[in-house]
Amino acid sequence: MGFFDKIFGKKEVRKKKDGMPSSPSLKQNLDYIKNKLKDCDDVIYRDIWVGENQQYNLAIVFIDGLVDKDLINDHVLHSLLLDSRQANPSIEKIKGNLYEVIKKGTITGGDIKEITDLDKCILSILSGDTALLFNGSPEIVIISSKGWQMRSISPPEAETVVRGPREGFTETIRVNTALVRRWIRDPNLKVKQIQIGERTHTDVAVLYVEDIVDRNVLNKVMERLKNIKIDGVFESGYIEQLIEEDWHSPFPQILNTERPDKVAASLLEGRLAILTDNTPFALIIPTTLATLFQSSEDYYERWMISSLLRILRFLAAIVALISPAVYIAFTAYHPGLIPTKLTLYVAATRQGIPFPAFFEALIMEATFELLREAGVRLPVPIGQTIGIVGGLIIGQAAVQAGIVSPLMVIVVAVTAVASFAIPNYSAAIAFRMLRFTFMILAAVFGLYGIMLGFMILLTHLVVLKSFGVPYLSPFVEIDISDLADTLIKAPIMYFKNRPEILNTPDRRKMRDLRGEKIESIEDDRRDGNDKK
Amino acid sequence: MIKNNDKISANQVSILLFTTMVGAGILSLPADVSKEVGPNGLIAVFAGGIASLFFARMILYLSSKFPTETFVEYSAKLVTKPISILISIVLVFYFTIFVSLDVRIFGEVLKIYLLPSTPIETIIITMLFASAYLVRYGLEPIARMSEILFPIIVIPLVLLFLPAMSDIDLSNFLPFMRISLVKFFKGMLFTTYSFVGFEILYLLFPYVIDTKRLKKGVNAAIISTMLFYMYITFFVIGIFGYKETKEQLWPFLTLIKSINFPVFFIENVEGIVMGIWTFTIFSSIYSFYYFAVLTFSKLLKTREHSYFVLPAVPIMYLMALIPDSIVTVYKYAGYVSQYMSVFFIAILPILLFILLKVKRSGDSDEEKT
Repeated sequence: MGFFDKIFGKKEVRKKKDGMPSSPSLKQNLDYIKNKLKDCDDVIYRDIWVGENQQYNLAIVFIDGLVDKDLINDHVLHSLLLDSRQANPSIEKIKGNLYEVIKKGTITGGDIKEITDLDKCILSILSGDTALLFNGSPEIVIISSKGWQMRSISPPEAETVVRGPREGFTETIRVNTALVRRWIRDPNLKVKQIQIGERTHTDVAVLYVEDIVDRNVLNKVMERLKNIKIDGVFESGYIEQLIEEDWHSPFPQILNTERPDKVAASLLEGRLAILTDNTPFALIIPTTLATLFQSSEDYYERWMISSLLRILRFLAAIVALISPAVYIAFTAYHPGLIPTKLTLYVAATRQGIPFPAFFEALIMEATFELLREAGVRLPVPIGQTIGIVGGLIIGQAAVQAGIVSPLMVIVVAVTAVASFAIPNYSAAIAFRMLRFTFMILAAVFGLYGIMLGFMILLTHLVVLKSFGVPYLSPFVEIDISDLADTLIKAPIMYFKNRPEILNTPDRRKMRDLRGEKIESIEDDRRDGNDKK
Repeated sequence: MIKNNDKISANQVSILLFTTMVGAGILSLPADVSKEVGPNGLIAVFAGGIASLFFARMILYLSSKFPTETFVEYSAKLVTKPISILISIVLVFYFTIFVSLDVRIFGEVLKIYLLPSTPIETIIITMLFASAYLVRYGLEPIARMSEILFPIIVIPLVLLFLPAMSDIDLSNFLPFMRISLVKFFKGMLFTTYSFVGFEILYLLFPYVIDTKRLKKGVNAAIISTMLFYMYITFFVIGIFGYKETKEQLWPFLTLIKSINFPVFFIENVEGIVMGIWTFTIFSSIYSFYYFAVLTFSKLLKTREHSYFVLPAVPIMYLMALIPDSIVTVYKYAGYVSQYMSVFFIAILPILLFILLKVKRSGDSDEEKT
């Protein structure tokens, strides 16, 4: 008996943890909710009496501002109070069965569910649902009535394209999942929703296409998401940092994007996406360095220009990384390695500049970072002014005052422009930061310092993995067909398979169009011959 | 036991072999062969490559008989345990010497071409620490690093020589094979220093996933290394002639200096070549470094090789500083490649091969009786 006691005892304890079961008494339930939501003045309780003699007591509870008032008025209150009078069900039928009748026949709201747990009921109310409580039955009907003021769908600001859809994600997860659904009408597109944050209860949805995704990655992601024990997550950046592999790294191991088309395309490649409520930024897993250089427009434009732009972006990353360092190395250590005319020109422009090349570069780069940071903080119109004042006037004045050489200003400007050419902001940040390391190394060891920097950086990158996928793939563990979508973007006909590195169960992406055509033509001919 | 995440593919082995073999030797190879065989340098390199291929396949064959063991373990079964330990210690020492030699030559070249006022000690120690950082993470990242560096090393070096094509005088390769065979073999022996590196196959086998494709991988690696060397030797001897080549310490760099790029804004490409060459040396150093440390950890039967990575730095550093000048460095390099390398590349595989056959037949005899 002790054995059973233990089991049952445990079960009871567990049940208590799960929540407070509701009681048949309306007053008791309402008291519990009111007690829990004490001092929450935005909660609205509405007592309703229905029936011929107003003998049945109901109550609805919702939070003002979170619910769609029209929905409650038209589909709950109106139905209960007015429409139900016109119907004339027999009293016997209603008697003792009020709950069933109302749930099935009266409420015209679309999405309802019933629960018997008061704590869950409170959570639903807090998420914007409306609770309908009955006197005489423990079931509570939760009417989905979320409808708050939200930003409408607008173009993604950080990832604008010339050609491509203008839709960006919004702050509401339901809208965002719908935006992705609209791209992929496949029953295999799964949206697994969990809540993270012990206080915020933020909705987090993991999206994947079931027969494409690598199960190991999916399990890893789900496991890591479930292991998050934090009081609140704000922005997908929280989740990104909590589930990524190496937090020491300056490189983002999870891609973030505002574009539904990018998410949909990634899902079809065999990646998975995480959408978080209250933020327009979706996370894409796994991410490699090459994906940070892909813009969704690459796939919409013709392949030649896309390939050229890809190469340009990779070059831009290298320029953003090392151009000030190269300037330092060449002026301070190896003037002999650049053409004599250029050496003389550099020497002439640096005449009278009181600082060594390293400090000159450091001052200008730090000033530029300062301007950029100030520009972000300031309101848009003033931000532009600061850009002009900072960029043009300070640069010009610094050159005229003889503090920096004009060449240095050009280097800084080129570096700045190059760092904006990297499509992913988080990746651009990494290159921007590492630039300073390279400057220091170049100041100490010249060109060798830059090479040393590359050795260390490459070591870090070859070690790094994103959910089991090497960060530098497909440049490492080479697969030729994967390389077609990295430094260049091959014509779309060549993408017959999904990326090898993602280890997808279903690799085929496209069938050979030509081969099929010939077959079908041959079939036609054969049919024709048969008829003859 | 070998952890699953420390396995690499046959393709990666192929590239790792290439980047390991192509190292400091590339600088002096044309001069080395010119000294002995005169205009027949190209053929000597070719013959050296074929010989290397033969012995590499032999080492591979030996290792494939013990697919889960490294040299340290399987040699004990062939030669007796004490001798096996002795050979393994020498092997650790041998790999360490190559790290020291490579890093020293690297320091010397860098000092002459890029950083005349930086003390060579700083260059050596930073290079060793950079390599140690990578070596600590094990074989998988090392193989990936080689994959990244391979195109960076090969493509620019192949392209850089092309503008010099018109300066090649084919008569520099004449007279054809008019030397004694003994001299030719001696010349071949001088190419060993450049081909050294495939000894890592002694240890690599248990870490490879698709061992069946390994034969092809080794072939590809050694033949492409050979072609790469022949390409460079062809340009250097073709332009300078063997008489001029053999007088130079690093004819490769002299040639680079002499190439003019009228189209580019960069007048001389030394900076670029130094950068690429840094990677070339780096890729040899980390490979030898890793296998030195790996062999040592296998000797002591420790689970992780990473304990020995940092303690190895001061040893390699001090060893690199033993020779007092670049001339002595090359003298030592000559000793090492002519005695130790020949032992590990040629004599040891043959010896082990015979022992294996004898032992196998002995075993089957025992089975019969």
